[in-house]
Amino acid sequence: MSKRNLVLIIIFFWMVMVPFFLNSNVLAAEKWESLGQTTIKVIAEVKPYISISISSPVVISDNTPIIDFNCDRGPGIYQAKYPLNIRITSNSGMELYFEAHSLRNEENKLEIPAEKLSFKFDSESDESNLINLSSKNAVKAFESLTFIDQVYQCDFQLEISPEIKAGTYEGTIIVQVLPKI
Amino acid sequence: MFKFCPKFKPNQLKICLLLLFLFGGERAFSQIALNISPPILEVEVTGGGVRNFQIELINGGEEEITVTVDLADFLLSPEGNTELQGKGETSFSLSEWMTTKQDKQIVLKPGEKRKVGFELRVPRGERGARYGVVVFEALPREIPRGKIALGIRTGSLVFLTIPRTEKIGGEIKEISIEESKVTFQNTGNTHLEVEGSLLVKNPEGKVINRLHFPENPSLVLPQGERYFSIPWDKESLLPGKYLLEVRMSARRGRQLINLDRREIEYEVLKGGEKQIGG
Repeated sequence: MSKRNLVLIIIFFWMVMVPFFLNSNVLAAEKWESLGQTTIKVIAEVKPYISISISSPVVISDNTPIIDFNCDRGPGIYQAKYPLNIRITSNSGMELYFEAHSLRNEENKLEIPAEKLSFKFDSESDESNLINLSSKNAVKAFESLTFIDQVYQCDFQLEISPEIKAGTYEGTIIVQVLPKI
Repeated sequence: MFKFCPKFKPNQLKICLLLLFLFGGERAFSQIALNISPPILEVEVTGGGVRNFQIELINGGEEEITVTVDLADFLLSPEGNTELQGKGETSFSLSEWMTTKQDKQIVLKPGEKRKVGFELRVPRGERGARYGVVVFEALPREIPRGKIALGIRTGSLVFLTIPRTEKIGGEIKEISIEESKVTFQNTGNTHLEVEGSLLVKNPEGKVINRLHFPENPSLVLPQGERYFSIPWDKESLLPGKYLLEVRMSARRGRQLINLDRREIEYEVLKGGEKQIGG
């Protein structure tokens, strides 16, 4: 068989088979209809979303999760009594941030700067994975460029240095999730 | 130790506590959750036009939550982090053009879904693009003494483009060999999806290597700067003279627009390195 004939055969098959494959669904639907069946069009709209949930075994009166430190051994680094569980679900990219303000003792106008607070994920033993919070801006904990459905266990630490006076301090940490752009 | 429960033997009590921990502990975890859709809204409205949009909120937790609705603006840091800013604090603020009839606070029962409506009104004569964010926060009503209370915050980022008024431009601000970093600035009035590369050439201009920045592609807002890192091991360059060329471009649909290119001379000496031009 000459090359020319081979090329002609390939072109012929291409011209016959391409329309067949393109129209196979239409043909199948028509065949079903001719047999007295109907096709039902299925439409599913999947909306983009971001979902954040936090949970902790320790709560206050309105069931808000809290972080609790018992700093009873003088200067040093204290681990929060319980970790915080964070679940993030999103069908697109996202970024997780923590925002904290100074811990305050209103009676004596004392403060512990937010920088003394740090966190790490999933009980990582490596202390180098600790990330310090900042009183200036929200600190990025991690980002995902694609979809995510993950539960993270977040351990918080508080550093008590000698200059921090004894007292009861309180504050807030905001767990912030934004879409990744 | 177990005086308060005389009917149980210590071992029985331990088993009871273990069973309680295994099967009765679930309710002890209090959970607050918030779901929003869509997280990003891209709208095109001409000057003098109005667009209404909705954001859906779902309380996905087990507790009733009070969600505060707020309008704000945002910036992108040179590292690519999203930074929320107060209303009107950015030069390309959108929050001042957005309004809502919704009360500032919404109480959502567990599982409850709510659609919040917004109106976006673009003044006549405005050009380019604007950026805002609808912020949803579920914060603690009170901070207990000696504790750190937790809250959640999320938001929908709103990108407004005023069609046919966009000006596209960008320039390479700095090439730092020391820090292996390129600083790019968007000089236009609309956001750009920027990508770039570094070409390592010999003195005759022949390309030896092409290194694509790992940050490709990165979104850069108008007048915003973005750092791109050079993924090289500069110690592995043999002594000699090189031409380093940085090329930056932006992707608009299928089109790739060249924004800027800059060349510097670079020499690696036997004992170290030297940047000649910049």
